[in-house]
Amino acid sequence: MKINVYHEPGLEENHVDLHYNVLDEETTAIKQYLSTFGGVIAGRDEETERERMLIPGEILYIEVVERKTYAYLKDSVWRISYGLQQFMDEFGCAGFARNNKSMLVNVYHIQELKAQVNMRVNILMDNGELIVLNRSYKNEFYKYLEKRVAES
Amino acid sequence: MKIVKDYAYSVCVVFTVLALTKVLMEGIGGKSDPHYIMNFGVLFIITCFATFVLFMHRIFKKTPLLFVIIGQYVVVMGMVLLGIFVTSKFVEISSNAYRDMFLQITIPYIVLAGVYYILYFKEIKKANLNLNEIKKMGNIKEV
Repeated sequence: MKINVYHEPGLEENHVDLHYNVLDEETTAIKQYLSTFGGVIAGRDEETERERMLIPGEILYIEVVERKTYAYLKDSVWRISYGLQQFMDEFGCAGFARNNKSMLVNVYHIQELKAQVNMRVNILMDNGELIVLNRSYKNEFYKYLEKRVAES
Repeated sequence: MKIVKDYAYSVCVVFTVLALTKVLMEGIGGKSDPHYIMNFGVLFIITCFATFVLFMHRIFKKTPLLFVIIGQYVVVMGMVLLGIFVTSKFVEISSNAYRDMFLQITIPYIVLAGVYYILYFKEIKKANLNLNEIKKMGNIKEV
């Protein structure tokens, strides 16, 4: 595949265009990679003090615990220096929706919503973890999904 | 202010449902109520109280909704039966008062709870369909 990179100082917003005639495996893979991209976030492992850049698309959910914000990936947890609202403002478009007061969940990493007999709604994530969808945020969450479908 | 509006709106709807249930039950049973004015007054007071109890669910956001629904039913029913018991000490009440009030509250409550339960599962089903759609389309705008 031919790759062109353009430096355009006058550009309002950086963007990537993908041109194809047939949606083959290579193009699909690139499309999938790009769909999970949305900027980078500096994350720090609190145990090892190791740092790494996180892509919003690989984050399953964000949680605030004792005023510290953590990004949960499939198999690791990273502390990030964002508040929930600030994160939402910057990376919300990558698919994050609020599921309770202290959490944001990435809808692209949700396997399914599970109804409970006691009328609670659990969110089953890609890594098998179950997260509660709080009743207060339920309507907002459903509206977000509808809006997302309408936009796609 | 919105909560007061919502409350007033709900009282109107619940009172209408209860009044219709009463009229329907009388129609089916072939009996007419000799104390219409007083009973409708009592029904209105019960409606205001019951709706107030139902509105309390906003406080129990962390409690599973099913338990809240059952708890609210027990509180409403308990208070209504207690009210009838207290009233019976001062005025003469119908021999079927307890049964009538039990049915008049239980039937609409079960119907409304059932509707809510069905809507709850429908909502989740729709949300799951939306989720699948979103994941299928990816986070990219097709041109």
